[in-house]
Amino acid sequence: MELDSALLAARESAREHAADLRSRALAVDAHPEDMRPHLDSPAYEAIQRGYFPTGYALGDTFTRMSYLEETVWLTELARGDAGALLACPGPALAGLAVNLLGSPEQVERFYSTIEDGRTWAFCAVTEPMAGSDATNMQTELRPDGAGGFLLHGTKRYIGNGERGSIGVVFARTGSSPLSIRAALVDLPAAGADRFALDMIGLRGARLSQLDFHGVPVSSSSLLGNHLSPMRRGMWGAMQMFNAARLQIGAMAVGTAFAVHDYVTGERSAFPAWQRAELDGTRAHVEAARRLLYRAGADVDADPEHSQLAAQAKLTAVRLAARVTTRLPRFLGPGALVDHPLLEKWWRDARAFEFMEGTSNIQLLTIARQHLRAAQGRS
Amino acid sequence: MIPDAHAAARSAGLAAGLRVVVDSIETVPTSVQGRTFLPSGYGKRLDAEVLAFPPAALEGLELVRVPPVVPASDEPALLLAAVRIGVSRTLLDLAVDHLTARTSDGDPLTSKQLVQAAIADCATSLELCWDGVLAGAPGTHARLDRVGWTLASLFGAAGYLTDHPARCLYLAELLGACWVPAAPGSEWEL
Repeated sequence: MELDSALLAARESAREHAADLRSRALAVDAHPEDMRPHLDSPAYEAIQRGYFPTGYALGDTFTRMSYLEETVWLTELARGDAGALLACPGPALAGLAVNLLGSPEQVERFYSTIEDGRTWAFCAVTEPMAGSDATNMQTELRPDGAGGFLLHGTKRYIGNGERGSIGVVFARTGSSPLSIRAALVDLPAAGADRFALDMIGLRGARLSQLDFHGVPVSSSSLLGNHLSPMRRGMWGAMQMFNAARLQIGAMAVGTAFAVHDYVTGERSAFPAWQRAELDGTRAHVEAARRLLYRAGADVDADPEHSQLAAQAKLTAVRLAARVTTRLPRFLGPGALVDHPLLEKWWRDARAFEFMEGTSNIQLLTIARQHLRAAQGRS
Repeated sequence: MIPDAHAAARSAGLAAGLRVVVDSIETVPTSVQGRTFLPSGYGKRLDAEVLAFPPAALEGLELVRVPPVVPASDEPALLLAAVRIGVSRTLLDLAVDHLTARTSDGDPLTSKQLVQAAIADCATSLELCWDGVLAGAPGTHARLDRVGWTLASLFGAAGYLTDHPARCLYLAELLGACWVPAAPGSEWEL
């Protein structure tokens, strides 16, 4: 699909900020716990401006980005560095949940907490034994006997969980699928422990574990009270995952572009077979980007459409794994240890596999949708 | 020496296997700029500059810099492939244990066909790699890269923690990248 002038302008703008993210990539990777040198980053300011609604300090022109615009924007930013991008303070995935499920008061509470541009938010779905399979979620919101709830359970691999001040935690109030709810939770809080996990790559995301031992949650903190029971919990989680698949796909494609740019920029000439493989790879990366854009437009048309988003994420993750492994070899033996950015992106690409659904989960989603469509035709 | 390198890695891990290899070759291959990994403590013995690379220490290795070395034969690559097969077989065992203990909808993950296919693919690829090493095919490393990716993925996000045994797969792949030059074609197509 072809981009219109507004989307091309968004892409150009993101490219300018990608250079700033690139300059911070290795420092954020080495010391994700120390973000002070990066908080005044021009790129971070631009990213935050894109994600804050009107009325907040950073949000002078906010109207929610379309999913297509977001895929265009994030692909180019990740071409700078996905790790530095994910380390940016702001709403991140939790913003998606609040935008989808929050009442005006909850939206106000969420964004006013993070409006200083130096505060992180977290979105807690994944659990140690259930992964991101929401139907097997164990974390509970138990009634406290006074109209509120007490949050019990453990969430793991939660981006910016260790440093987030507010977040969305998914938990169940009962055993049925409709009992899964999302709650706004402020941290630190009595009864909550958290710590960062030492990950091999994408360390800017500051993946963390959150342990809740009876953390009080008021009924007004449950997102979606103003929505029908069908649309309060799982519906929101599914739509959020759909959008998140696009985000991770964009970061994977951006990382593949980054490696291709870097490798081809290091040398003026390559042996013929390497040149041919570089050109072929470039065509594959462009194709993955087009698929991603098409998936973004598809989710814009219907946020419940999941097939193209899953196909785009599956393709992007495989591509990033292959490109980050193969292309550095063209700079000679050991380029991965001689060029720290290449080594970092090679590690980062592994993380995309398990974020917002593994490739197996994407395959099952794609098959289910495809078979449903085939049944419909017959 | 190939069976010894494999056996050491299979029973005691990447550093143990690498020790067998380094002790049996004349010079250790390096990157273009002279970087390579050695078992911890070997850098001092070889008068090499030891570089900071925290994940290596966790695996009993160290990243060092020496005058660049281009291997004169395929022997180091073949021995390293034997080591990588050894650690991959151990990780496959661990992955099966992990997936048997994890359940989805009440069934162990090993009952899911996609998971079974991944296990079968890794097991078959490792058999082929072993015969490739015995046949003197250093290109085995590209296939081992793909096996390593699949194996690490079988542990989910846990396999991406620095304190998880799957960490050795990342370091083994980095070693392969240092010791084996790129060749046309790849076992890991798009």
